[in-house]
Amino acid sequence: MTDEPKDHAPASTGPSRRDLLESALGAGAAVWAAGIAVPTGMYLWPAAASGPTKKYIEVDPASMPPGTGRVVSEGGKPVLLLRQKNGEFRALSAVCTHLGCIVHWNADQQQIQCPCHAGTFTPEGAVVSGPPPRPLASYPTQMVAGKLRITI
Amino acid sequence: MSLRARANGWFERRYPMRAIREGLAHQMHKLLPPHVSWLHTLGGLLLFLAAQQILTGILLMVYYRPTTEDAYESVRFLMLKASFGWLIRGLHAWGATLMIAVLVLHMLRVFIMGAYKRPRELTWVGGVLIFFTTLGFGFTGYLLPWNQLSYWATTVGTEVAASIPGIGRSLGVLMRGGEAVGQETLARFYTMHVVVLPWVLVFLMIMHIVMIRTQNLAPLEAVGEERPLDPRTAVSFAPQHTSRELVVFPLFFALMIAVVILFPPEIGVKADPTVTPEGIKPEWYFLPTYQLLKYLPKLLGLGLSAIPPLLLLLWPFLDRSRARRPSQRKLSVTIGLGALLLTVLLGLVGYLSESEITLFGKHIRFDMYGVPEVVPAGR
Amino acid sequence: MALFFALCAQTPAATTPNSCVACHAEIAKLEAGRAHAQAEIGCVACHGGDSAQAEKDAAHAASAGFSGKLGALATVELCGNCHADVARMNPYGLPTDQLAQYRTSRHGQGLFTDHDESGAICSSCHGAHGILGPKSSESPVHPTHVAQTCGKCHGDESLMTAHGLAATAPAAYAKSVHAQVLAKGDDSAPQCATCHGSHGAIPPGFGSVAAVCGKCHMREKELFQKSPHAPLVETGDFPGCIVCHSNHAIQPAEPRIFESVCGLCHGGTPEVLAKRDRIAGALNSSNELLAAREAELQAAAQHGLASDEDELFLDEARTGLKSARVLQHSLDPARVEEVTGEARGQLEALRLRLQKERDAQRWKRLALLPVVAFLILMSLGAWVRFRRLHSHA
Repeated sequence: MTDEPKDHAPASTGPSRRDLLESALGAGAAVWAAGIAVPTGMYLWPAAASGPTKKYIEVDPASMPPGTGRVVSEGGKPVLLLRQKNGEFRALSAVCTHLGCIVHWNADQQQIQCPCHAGTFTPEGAVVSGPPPRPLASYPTQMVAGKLRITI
Repeated sequence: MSLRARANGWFERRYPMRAIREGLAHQMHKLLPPHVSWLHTLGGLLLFLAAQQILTGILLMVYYRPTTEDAYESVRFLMLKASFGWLIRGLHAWGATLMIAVLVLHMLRVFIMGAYKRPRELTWVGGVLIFFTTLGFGFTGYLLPWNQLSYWATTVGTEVAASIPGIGRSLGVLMRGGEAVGQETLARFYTMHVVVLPWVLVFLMIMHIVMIRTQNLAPLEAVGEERPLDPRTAVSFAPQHTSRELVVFPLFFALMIAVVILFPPEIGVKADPTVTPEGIKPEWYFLPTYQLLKYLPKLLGLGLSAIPPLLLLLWPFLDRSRARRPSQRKLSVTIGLGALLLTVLLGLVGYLSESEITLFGKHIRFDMYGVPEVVPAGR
Repeated sequence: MALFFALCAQTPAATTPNSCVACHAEIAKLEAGRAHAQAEIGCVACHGGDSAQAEKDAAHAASAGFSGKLGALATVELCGNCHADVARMNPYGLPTDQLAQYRTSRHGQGLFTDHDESGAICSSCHGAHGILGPKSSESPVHPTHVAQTCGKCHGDESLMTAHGLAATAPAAYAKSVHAQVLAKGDDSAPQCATCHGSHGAIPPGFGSVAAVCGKCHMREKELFQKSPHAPLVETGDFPGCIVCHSNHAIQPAEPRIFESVCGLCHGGTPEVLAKRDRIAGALNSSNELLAAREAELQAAAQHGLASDEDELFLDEARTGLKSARVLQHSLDPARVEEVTGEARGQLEALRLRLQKERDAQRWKRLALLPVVAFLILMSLGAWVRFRRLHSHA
């Protein structure tokens, strides 16, 4: 392995050239290792806050007087939030079970209505009339630190 | 005595470091037969790939959630939100495909060079078992993203197992954890993919490597005519053979990164057990079996498709000839290459079946048996 | 012998031997297990005669009140005997106003006033034997079969011509968006009876069209009633919804209707047409944007490059455009533009998000070059080392 062309070249260039190659390859390997380690570290660092863990909506209860309702949406799911006359909250899927239009709360008639084909639902989400085949799905709600949390 | 020497001595009395280091050095500098070539780097490449699959697999487990509710979303999340998640999933998905491709090439090299012959029959058998285990990885891993393709390919795949006479139904229920592919299936496949199969693979690989190291690589001379290695022509494992592997690894890694970026693995549409998409096909490495099963009545097909794996597994005990050089065992090599060609053809027909291609301006449609039919223009 | 067969062929509910079955086995088979058989309404209840008599002449004797096949008027009165009787229908929870409604229908008026027996009577729609309730999917009056049932007569050209009617409605309806939705399995989609009524079937009058359509399309009706066209309906100068949407062959509500219809009356008033162009333009261009984003998002989702937040943007835009389509009935371009503007905002935000994702893809490809170059360089270095290590051999 020490058989560099000694006769044709100064003895010193062989080993030095080899050393250069070895150290260049070593440095390359180090760069390679870093190129694997850095993305791995970045991958492991907790990703964006809006990750799959956040599956709830938070609403300030004071923003909704009793007897009102509004559509809130987070993470692709529109939710119809109702506040009953007795102050209790109820969260229902705002997607009409007929053709997927977004339903809204009719405060005068105390009913949920779908603007597309006259489907109406009770405040509990049951079908009163019209084409919807199924009641609206409901989501659990709870008070957490003064905020209403809807788990979706 | 220097502090370092004392520390070493303290450690040496408790852990035989020197013996291990000497054993390793002996293995590293072992001499290999002179015909060792670029083709012999395929085995090392497989070790490299297995390590990569295990590492990327561990990283994927950090974000993956094996539930029907979350599996698809978690894969989408790690691809989109986690930094470099796309790269890690891409390496894992492409790594699986490339690993099977390299495995086939490695087996082909061993077959053609007659390296499976006495006394290396068990090395071959172990290698074939590694191949089957890797196919098991492919089958179980394919379901985990829980998209339409994976769901229905698994439904079809487990259905094949369930149609084995006698035990089939029970086997199908056992694989699926129920009557249909669902949460239980996902949990079972996940457990197999991340716990059971990795241990089986590691065990088989250790056995394989131990056998190779103790018996050394097979020479080209016929069985019983092997000559002792001539130190002047022999190749050292390190640094000579490893220097060859070091040329191959970066190139292979570059290829892998390139396919991951240029052809990123899809994530598809989330699995929907109520909608069967058209043209469900398994992964490419299951296509030959899939196509074979179509041609034959189910029972016969199952029986027949069990023969090639058995032949492969038991080949060293069937081919008892002594010669190793391919030029001296034309029949054997012809059988092997013929079988490979047939497999590739079946796979190709399976790939084309139930699809349409445009060739020289003509639309050609293939039916489920792969029979082409020219579609008249304007349709 | 006949009695033996009769006993064997009896419906489970019948308790007395029924000799009719000996000859009318086919009809008995039809009735078996159906509502009237279950309620023990036997042959005699409608056709008279004596089912205890084994001989045909005795069973069909006029003295036993045998009436045989009933005429149209007799049929309607016969059905009404029970079905208009509150006391008899109460246990089954069935309504009793069908006959009263029928009298008000065109069919009933024909029968009772004009003594024309060629019009529809109860059995024309419900069948005579083996009658099923409208909730049974096999019933001829189940929503999915109504168009076919009405079409038996209303698609018969000679019959309709005789009554001075066109026979085109069933064929026109079959092409309508309503029929398509019904065929997709949405039983709530409108069929003939939804607009015309069933027992009291009558064409909606000139002024009541909006009311009929508004039963389901209530928002559209609300807006239309405040639009400039509404007063013209009152005065009888504008027939309402059907002007743009036609009556039976109702097509999906697409903005192209604007192009074909408005000009018919407003051809000479450029300011009205300008308004039309604004509304149609806002809707058309937004729909195109929506379709483009939908395709982009789908392609991105296939590659795992779209999140559910991206889908939310699309959902919101889609909902917005849906309400804009409804809002056009106000004929107020500003209101339509406001809503489509919001939807376009969502679509633009989505476009930017997808663009960002595509840019990231481009960066990945660019980054590939140096990475591959580095790895090839490493390989070349290793190659030099390999050559050197093998050169002595």
